[in-house]
Amino acid sequence: MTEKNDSPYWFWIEPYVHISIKKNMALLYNTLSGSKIEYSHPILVGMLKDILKKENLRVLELPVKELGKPIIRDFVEDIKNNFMGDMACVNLSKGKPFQLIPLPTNYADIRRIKKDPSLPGKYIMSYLSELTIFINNHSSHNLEIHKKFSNDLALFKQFLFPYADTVGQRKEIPLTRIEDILTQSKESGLHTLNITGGNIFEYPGFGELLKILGKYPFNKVFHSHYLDVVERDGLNRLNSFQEKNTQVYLHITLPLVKDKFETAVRFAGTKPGVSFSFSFAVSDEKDLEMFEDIKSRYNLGRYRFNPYYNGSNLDFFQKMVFFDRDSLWAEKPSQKEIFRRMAMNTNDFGNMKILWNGMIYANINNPAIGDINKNSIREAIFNELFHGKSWLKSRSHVLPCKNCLYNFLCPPLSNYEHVLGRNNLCCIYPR
Amino acid sequence: MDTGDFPVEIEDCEPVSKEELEYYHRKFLFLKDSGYFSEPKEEKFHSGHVKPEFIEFSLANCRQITFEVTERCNMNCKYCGYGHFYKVYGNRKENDLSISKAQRFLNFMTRYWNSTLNTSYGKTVYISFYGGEPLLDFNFIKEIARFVKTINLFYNQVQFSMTTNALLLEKHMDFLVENRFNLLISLDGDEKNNGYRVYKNGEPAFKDILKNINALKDHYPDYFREKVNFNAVLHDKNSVSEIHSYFKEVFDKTPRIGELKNIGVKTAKQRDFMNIYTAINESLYNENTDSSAIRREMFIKLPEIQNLSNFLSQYSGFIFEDYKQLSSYTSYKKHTPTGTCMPFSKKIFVAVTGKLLPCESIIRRFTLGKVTDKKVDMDFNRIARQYNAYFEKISHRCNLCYNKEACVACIFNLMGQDDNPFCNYWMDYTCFSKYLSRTLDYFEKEPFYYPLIMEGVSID
Repeated sequence: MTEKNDSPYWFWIEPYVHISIKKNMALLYNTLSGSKIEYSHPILVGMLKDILKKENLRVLELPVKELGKPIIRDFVEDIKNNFMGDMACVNLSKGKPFQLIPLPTNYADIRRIKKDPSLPGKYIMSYLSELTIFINNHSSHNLEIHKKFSNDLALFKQFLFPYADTVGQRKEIPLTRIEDILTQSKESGLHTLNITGGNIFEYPGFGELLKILGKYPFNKVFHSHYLDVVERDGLNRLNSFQEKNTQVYLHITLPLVKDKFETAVRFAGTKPGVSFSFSFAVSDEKDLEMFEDIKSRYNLGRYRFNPYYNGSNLDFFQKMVFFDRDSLWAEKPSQKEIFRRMAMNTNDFGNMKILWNGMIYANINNPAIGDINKNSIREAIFNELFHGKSWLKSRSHVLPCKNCLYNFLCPPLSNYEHVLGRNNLCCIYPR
Repeated sequence: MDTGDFPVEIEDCEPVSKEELEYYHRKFLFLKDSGYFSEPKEEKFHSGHVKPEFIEFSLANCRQITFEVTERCNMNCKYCGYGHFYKVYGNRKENDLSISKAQRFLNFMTRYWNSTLNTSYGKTVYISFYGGEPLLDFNFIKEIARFVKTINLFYNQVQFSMTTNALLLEKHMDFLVENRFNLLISLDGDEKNNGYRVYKNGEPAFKDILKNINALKDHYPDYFREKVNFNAVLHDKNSVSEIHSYFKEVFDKTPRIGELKNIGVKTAKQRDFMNIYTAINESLYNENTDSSAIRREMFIKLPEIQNLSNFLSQYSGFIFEDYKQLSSYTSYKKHTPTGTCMPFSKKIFVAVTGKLLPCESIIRRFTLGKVTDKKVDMDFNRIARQYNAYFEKISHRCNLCYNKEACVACIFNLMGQDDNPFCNYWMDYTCFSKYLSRTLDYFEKEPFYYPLIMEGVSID
């Protein structure tokens, strides 16, 4: 830039740049390249606050003398070099440049819909994408090692895991009710149906249930503790199920009962039509070592491990689940992904769980959104959208995330946060 | 890059250095790699995309049934859509729609509304009464309203709505208020503005209309405030500002203002028609008074804002129809040409003859089904074939249109007498560039319209 022209400049931030300002810090994130820049200098944060004002639409007029200041000049260069913004002589345009700044607008946004009484609940069944039915709540298994985990509410609240209540009353959802649930879900967006328990093989009408499930096109995923599958005639029952779109998740707790586990692995290898996955719950380094050893010794095909918080393994949990600035920086969410994270919890959205007692949950850690004995699936969805605490809960709703510069770069809230009783599984905030 | 002479001189601006030109080249490449500046994809509309099952789904989720109660009218408005200017509606007689046919159709719809194909919950369905002048067959309205109350809808709530010229309003207002009808009263402004709204004998109807409206307003002020709206037609005897100020001052309402329908005008009547036809923008901008206040108030109701809204819906990348679209990882792709609504996705029009049409504005020969004395005749396979055949006739043209993704043209309005569609809105590269340029130019002049439109416009 020369000094012969005193015309000011238009300076703007590009529409594809995500801007976050919290207190005296500002973050610019280029959603196309993934580059990020942070600013803490009051002048620069002030400038970015100005640029975000509604009346500016991300464009500011910069006098030449401002551009002479090193702090501003370096800032502008920084922005330009990251392709996050630009500037042009005001003489180049007749008026202030206009750009379509990011104003994400969802026509079905509940806040908008609440203003228009004719629209609530439009096409809401299409939102249901994954349904989990706990068909019963019991398992007759006597091994302590099995009971210890299947009775563990905390585990069942962290990830999908069979839950057996060995103390309380035995309960199951009647077959006719399950059929009704499936009929209701026929024209929904449902693509995955999880069937779990208890021990699903102890469900009295399991054979009939398989026949009914065969009528529906959803992907069916059966969840069972591996000890149930080998002990309670589970293998034979699964053997009778020849449907496509079927997966079996065998949930493994450690230490293993070796012979039973080997039976399950062998069986998995003989059923080419059904996809088997092995899901290990691990709570410490020792479990992790066992998992590594098992996966190297057996041909498991699909497998994964789920870290499990047991109340006394925070160190392990921090190591496995918490993320630091580097891991956050490695994430490169698109602009649309950021919009999603602003509006919804993508971990929960579309998911519904129905327990053995009929209670319906959008997330098992939040209050029920209905009772399948009294409410339809669509009523439950409606309740969740309008009054629920799961599907639309973003990090902007919780502390400390709402005050965090990176809140929408972070993955959505998860069940781990519920169980730990804190919302930030990170080593970033508070520093 | 070309290594010509540097710096490059630009009038009134600083010279551009070689470094700056290189910077913009790098930025161009960055944006290009990120998907900007790409040519439109060679995606084509293929035939057969309208499926019978989708039509059935739309029917179960249909949100409005409009009954053409009667062809009779107690007025003879000079610009009437069924009047002397237009060629397309066939002979209007003095027929009424039978109550039994309407009830048969409501029973038919109830089965769909209560089926699992209906994926909504709590959504309002509107039962609407249209004419002619619907209040001329008040018995029909009363019987259908009574019948609707006996229907048990599992997932929807019902509201009634009616378009009326208000001449019989005082006589029936107790019933309309009791049933919470949403009323749309046709009125073009003050007495002078209403010059074309006359009785059969040519006498002006304005004073009687006003008397009726005032009776409603005086007896039921809360209802009047909440449920009554006005629709004014623009022509050479009124103007946007006159209409606007009349309704504001007299009723404290912002009316809808519509232009005369300029499709289907008889060739012999073109000149007469154009003598009275006035476009909203023409009226707004040709008036000597400052129209900015009116434009602010009418905002979303203005055609120009609706055009901008459509532009933003398609091209901003920031508008999502619902949570499903927001959560989707694939971008929406349009499968059918034109902007035609899928059959029954918005409404069903039941003509006095029992013919079923996608809406009241569509020429009657494009029937989708019929309510007879014995049954409802609706064949989803046939309707799908019908739509696919219409689309087939224009898809080759639409494939080459630069604005095909944002088109709002209805194929039924593009159809000529020989059922061959012709599109006046087709855009080649130059045309589309001008359209983009005009639209962005508009936003440069009125930048704050952008956030206002994003906040205010609904996809319905």
